[in-house]
Amino acid sequence: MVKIDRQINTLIQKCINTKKIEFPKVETANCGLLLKKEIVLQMESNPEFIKLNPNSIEFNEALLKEAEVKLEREMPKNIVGAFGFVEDFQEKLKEENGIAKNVINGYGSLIKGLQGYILHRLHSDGFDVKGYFLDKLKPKGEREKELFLFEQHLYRFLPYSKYSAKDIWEICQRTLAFDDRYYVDEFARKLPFNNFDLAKNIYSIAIRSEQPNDTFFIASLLIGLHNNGFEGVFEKAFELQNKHPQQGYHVLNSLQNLSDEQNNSIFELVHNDYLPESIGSKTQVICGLIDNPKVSEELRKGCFNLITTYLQKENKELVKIAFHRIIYNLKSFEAEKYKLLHIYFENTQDISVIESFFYNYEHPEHLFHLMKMFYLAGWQRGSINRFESSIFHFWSNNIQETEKHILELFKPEDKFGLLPVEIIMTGSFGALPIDLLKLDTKQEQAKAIEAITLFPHTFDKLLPIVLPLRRSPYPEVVKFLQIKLSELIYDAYHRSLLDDIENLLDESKEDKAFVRPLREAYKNYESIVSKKKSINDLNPYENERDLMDLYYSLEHENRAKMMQDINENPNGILAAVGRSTIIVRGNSWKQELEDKVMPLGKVESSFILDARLFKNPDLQEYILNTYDKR
Amino acid sequence: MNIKQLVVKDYLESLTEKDELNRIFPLLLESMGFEILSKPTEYLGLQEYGKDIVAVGIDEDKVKKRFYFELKGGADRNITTRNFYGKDGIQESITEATYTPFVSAYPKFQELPLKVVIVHNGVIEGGLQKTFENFLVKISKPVDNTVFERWDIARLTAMFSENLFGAYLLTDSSTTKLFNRVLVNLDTSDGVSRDFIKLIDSLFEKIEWKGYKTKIPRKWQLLFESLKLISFIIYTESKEYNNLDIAKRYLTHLVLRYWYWVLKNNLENNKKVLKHFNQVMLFFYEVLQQYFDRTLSIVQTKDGLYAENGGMSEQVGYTQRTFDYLAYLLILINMEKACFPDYDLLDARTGVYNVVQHNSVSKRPLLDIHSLVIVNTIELFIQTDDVDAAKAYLKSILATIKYRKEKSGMLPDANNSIQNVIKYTVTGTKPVYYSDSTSPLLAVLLEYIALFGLEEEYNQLRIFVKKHDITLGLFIPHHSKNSVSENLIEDKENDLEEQLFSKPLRDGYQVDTRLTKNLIDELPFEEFKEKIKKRKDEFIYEYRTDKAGYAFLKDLAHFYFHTPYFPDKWRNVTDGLLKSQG
Repeated sequence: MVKIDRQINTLIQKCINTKKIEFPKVETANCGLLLKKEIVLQMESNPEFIKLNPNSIEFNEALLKEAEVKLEREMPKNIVGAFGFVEDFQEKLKEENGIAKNVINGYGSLIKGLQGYILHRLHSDGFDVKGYFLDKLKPKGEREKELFLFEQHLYRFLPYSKYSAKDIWEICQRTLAFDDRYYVDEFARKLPFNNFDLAKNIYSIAIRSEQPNDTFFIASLLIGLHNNGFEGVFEKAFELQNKHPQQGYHVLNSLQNLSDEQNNSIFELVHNDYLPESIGSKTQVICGLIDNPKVSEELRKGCFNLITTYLQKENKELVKIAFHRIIYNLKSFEAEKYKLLHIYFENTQDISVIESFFYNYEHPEHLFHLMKMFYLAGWQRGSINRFESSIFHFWSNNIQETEKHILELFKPEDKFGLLPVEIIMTGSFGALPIDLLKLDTKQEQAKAIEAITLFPHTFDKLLPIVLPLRRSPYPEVVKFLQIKLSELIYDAYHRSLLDDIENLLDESKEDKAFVRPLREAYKNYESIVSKKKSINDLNPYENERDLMDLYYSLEHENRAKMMQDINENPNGILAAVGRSTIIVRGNSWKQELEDKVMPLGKVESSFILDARLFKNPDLQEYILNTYDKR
Repeated sequence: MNIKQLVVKDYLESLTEKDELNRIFPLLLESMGFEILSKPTEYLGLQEYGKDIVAVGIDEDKVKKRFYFELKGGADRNITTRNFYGKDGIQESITEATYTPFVSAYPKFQELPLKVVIVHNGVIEGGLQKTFENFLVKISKPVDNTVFERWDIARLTAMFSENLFGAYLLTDSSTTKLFNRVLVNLDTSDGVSRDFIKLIDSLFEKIEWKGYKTKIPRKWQLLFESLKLISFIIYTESKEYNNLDIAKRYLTHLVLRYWYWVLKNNLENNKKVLKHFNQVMLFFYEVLQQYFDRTLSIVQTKDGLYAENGGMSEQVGYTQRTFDYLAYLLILINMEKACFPDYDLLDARTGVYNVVQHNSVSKRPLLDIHSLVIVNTIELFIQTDDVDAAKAYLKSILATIKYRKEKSGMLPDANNSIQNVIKYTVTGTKPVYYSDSTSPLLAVLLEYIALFGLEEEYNQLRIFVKKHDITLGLFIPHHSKNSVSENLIEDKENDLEEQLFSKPLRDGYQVDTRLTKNLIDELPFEEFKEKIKKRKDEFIYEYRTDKAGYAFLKDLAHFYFHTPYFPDKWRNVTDGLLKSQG
């Protein structure tokens, strides 16, 4: 017994020190014992890892003791005091471990488990949790701040409580009646896995309910029960579908290990359902069947044919609903799914779906096919924005293939202009770090240099991408890079570009030789500028002040308007992050009831402007628009 | 406080270069009635006779005398022990001036008493005063009939105030204040200040020209001298600001206003008046020459007219500056062509070509009035037998105009307001007064298209004009020799030229150039060419300015007042070429 106590305390310290709850087995002493006691659980995604079971009674008992030691007081016996006590414990942990006060989730998982346990402890000590919830707990907007998330703790506690199925169902019904479903649905989904018998008992009572609010709860219970071996659910789902199609489909879509016959029955059910309002659920069920590796090729083909008919419907709203489900629920068969996209385009002309379409894709091949298609059909400034999230998705999940596809766009014979550079520039924190040395031929490398140096803005981000080509095995490429960079230094970015280049070079002989002509270009630039500065005859500050003032006052006004538009736009980015407070003076801020003054984060951004854009904007735009066109 | 004295003293003290005093001092002598026999500028720095100015005039004692003036300006304007003694010192130069004879055909020149005057726009060092006086006493002893004097800043201030500024320019406190304000604010406004315009107007309007019998009346002589003085003051002040653009702008106004006065009083053939006018005009020419000497080597580098310190506003500023620059360069070329028969036009063509090639925005007209530069450039290329360059230039202008319209919806503003162009560029909203549904510029370009036989460009432009519903309207003044609309002239006080030289000319009508026949059918290129040929006599006018030999001044007036060229400007050239093409 002493031994397990010591192990638990070690685990607690480990969780506190590392701020994690998942660990490699090899780093966890007496892992077997902890697993046996269900203090830790095997991670399904990685057999070499275990994770803390935050609902473990034994663990939470020890954690509570730790809290009492740290806070040097016992847990209060009243419910508000007890939850306040846990919050204090969390802040104490954060303070001791260098986490700022206003940072959420420092020890989130650990504390959530403890909050569930608090109810268990109070309940064991005679506190009437059910009575409190049903009769005394105030509505959300009025209750004490410590009890704001009371439902979350309650449903975490219920599977382990001594309450009867009837009592629990009563609690659930109360929550459902208030349409505050998130935690209760989660409870229904997990309960068959956590406490199968209790789930069965609750189901047998709940099934008698005629309340429409309760059907989703019942459906969730059914899924869990079936997937834990409970018989007769398939038939029940059909009955449910008859009364509540949406819930019925939801259950049918989630049942595992069905027979061929059962799968065929589901298909038939969907096929014969002509209700337009079920189109979303039906599409979801069909996507589930397609993704199910156990269904026959014939059935899958039928499924594709069926959703194709959905996408060809006249009612565009229904088509959009169906396609939305396909995007998120059809996870495999990427080529066939891509064909569906084109059927969808043809019917709706709605290209906005591109932004989310590749959400479940593993391979970027079809994204690149689509971008090329759009490019050839008429690419405009801003066209790339539609593809940004998809590029980001593939760059995060399949970097090798994505890089390969980007590099292929530099083939001179294909004439994709600035498209590859636009793709590279979609990186959220700078350009996507493509390795241009992977381009095989000197023509491809030269094309990359040409396109990148023509790109009209934020060249500082592209510089680290193009500069490695100074190590190209082809001397002509190196020379070409020097020429193009020299042009940019003279024409567009001047000293700032030379500085950036020099910062990225090393002290090697090769780099010193490489930078020489670039310095020469800057010297030439400087010499002409100093010549201009030597007289005021051509200086706009001396001879065109009124025009400059007009230009910049309008420009200033324009920016102010833009900021106002952002603030007034309810869909804008500022609105999305909630109310924004402007710090008019000072370098830090403090909330009214907080003790600490928080320094403002330093947000700095810089970009260098391409002077070619305002020297002759029409000519530059013409060059950009006609560059490398077929 | 006597503002006038302060202004004059400040100004004279500001002449820190030797040649500046050399230029202004003769004006004083002329205004005092001296007859100048030799000026320093006439010897171009050669050490002739050891004296800077030789003149004959009546001295304070009412006796007619010979005067040798030795001028010490610039670094020598203060007399100190450093510049008094030694070789090439002031002492030596006075001695030399005294003993070196000056030969003149002036009647009884050698018999007149002599006064040698050392003139310096500074002071003499305290300790040197006595030495200097002793030196003068010593040097005057052996020579008969000769006296010596020293005119310093105080004396010059008094003389300039009384004889030149006081006599005409700064006669009353309001003119003094105006002139003072002009000088103080010389570098604060973009164009030409209202004060300057008012000052010049008031000078010309103060007295009425009533002609003369043998000699131009003194008050007018003084006015002409004052105008020279003003030109010179503006120029020296501009140099102080290291900015000859100021002098270029202000003298443009002065020359145009002066010529307007000449025309208004029908003096364009009066040699005595023209002599005075020429002095101001040639001074303006010298200023332009200096301006281009300072800038041309810069401008002929890649994007040479682009201002690196201008920032984003350069998207309008660079283009506008380039067109202004080319306008003056072409005016200067036309001036030189008129004044010097041996002028190398090919060399000038190369200069313009280089500016155009190195500054791509020269093919990007933002205002309709940029047509002046386009017409003059094409004309220059044609005159130098470089029709290929003219065609290439025309084609790139057309391409840019079409591209801008297609991409940004903008044609050059026919109201010629660069402010509106800025507003449109920055806000993306077309200002109410931005006018581009009518394009006089395109109408002119179409005639060149006909001239060069560019059928493909004609057809493309026809489609473009139809697609964007553009009216091609040319401005024709009512004053044509064969005019049928003279009755519509509103300003009856001023003839065409008087209007052209005094304000933006609006007394005329707009005539459409249609690219259709019977209002619907497309007009084929050949028929269009025929139509243009037939229109060659649409506007005929005999300019007094041309007869007097100042045709180039019209270009300056068109530019300054934003008046588009009249069709005779280019049709005289195009007509010849069309004939030669058959």
